[in-house]
Amino acid sequence: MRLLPVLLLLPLTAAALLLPLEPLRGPAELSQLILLELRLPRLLLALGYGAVLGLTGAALQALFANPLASPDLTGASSGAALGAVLASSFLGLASPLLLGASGAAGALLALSLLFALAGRRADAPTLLLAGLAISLAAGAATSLALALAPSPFAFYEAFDWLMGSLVDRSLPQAAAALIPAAIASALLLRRARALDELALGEDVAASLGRDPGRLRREVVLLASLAVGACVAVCGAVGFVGLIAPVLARSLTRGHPGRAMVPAALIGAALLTGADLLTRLAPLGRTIPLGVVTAAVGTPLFLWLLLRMRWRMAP
Amino acid sequence: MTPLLEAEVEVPGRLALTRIVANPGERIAIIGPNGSGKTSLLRALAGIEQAAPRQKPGPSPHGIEPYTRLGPGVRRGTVIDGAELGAATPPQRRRLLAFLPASRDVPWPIPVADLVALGLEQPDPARVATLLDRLDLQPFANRPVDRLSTGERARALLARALAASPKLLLLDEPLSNLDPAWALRILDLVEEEAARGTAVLLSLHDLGLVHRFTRVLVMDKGQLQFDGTPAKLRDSELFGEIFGLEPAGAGWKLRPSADRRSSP
Repeated sequence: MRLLPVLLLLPLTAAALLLPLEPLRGPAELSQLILLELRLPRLLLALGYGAVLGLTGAALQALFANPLASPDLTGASSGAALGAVLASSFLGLASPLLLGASGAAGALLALSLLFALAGRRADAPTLLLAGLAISLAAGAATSLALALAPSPFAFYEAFDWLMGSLVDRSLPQAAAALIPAAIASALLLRRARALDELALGEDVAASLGRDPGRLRREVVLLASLAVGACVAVCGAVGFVGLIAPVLARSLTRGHPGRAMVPAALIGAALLTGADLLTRLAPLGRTIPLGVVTAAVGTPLFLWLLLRMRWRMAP
Repeated sequence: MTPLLEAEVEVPGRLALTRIVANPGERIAIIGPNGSGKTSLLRALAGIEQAAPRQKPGPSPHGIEPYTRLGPGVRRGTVIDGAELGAATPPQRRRLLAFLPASRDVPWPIPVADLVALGLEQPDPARVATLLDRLDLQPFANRPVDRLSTGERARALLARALAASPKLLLLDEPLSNLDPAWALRILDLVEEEAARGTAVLLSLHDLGLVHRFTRVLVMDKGQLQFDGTPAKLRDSELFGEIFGLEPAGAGWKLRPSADRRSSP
């Protein structure tokens, strides 16, 4: 049961590299180009971004003691999307790395605003509500920017940032997203024990010498940095960060902190699978990644919800 | 005998500067009306409230002088068995004290055995099994805590607090949510823990159980108003004044309404 996420990942990884097969049947140089320049960065981003979503989702759910918390809750991903949309529609930037940098700037700005609003105590309800407010405001600002954009194609161009896309990203782009995300994730993982202890409440954690206020600030900061870096390159992808931790906790007997690693594996499998679906769906055109994760995620989430309700019933 | 606990704590606005000294094996009940500072005292002793800047305790709001006075050269904070709590690492703290909050909420569906194991630094299935036996939780060992009754959950959380055999037990209303038989069994358990040299401080509302303790602290309006034996408390004037009760037969009755503190 615990090996399930790993067992899922292997065939998905192989499929992401090999499917569709036809383009690989050509000359050796061409198939090598397709594999290394197109499919490898895409696969790395799918695995890495999915893992980041699962891991940060698990960390934030543990932190807020709430299974409905998700990585987009801190406002960093809406901030990153807003930064990228503003840069492309108003500054006319087109270089992927510059757009990524604008996205990162947007994420950092949203994060600074969150900490300014939450204040020195940074208690959980204030952080949650401030993050939600920033998310909503950044979402509205993004829509406004699109409505006022000089280019009539602004909405089409912004689609990637709003629904997420892993198409045509280069290896340097993948590195720009995944290296900072990996560092932040590794630091988050070191908080697993403290997050598990938080299951007994902040007072018990504090009586054991943990500082719940500091833990809150660290976890929100690290999660936002990891997600912000990925959103700056791939756009915002919903649902994975909400569902992967819920599935992961069923493998860790309900413990929220130690669910981070399985949540990362499940998140990686979910996003790789979703990206495969966007490529393989026989619709003749590419479906946005966020649509697939929502289409797969919603029924899964509702099933979990019903299962929880049945269990709670006497 | 060297005291096990020496503490001098304060929570601005909720708890006046309070000094508590306790010896190994003492069983101390903390009583007082709602909002009188029982929880603040326990949280402060557990090192949950950050130490506030030093300031002199003001005069009591209703004319009663605080019972405790600071000794010369007393250090701020909690000192347990010679170890300063503020300087202890998390593994050291586990052996020094356990704090049981009054809330019985556990947000995650963790099995009872795992919940108890959260009280241990290293996994120790034998210790967990012993604790489950002591609190009759063996049948629920693998049941998620969200599927227990509140009283059963209270027992599971108490088992977690006992897990690392701490020298000081700080229990906030451990008897609420328990049926009368279990309340008495928990008092027996507290006596067993004290017999091994643990000092136990626990808050409670059932005045009828106060005689089971070696010492009683009475809190009112954020100040320690009484510190003595249960017998001394019953004869004390303070008692009626604070609770609006007076002794009647084997128990208590409400004082005449003119004196009752709840009336405006």
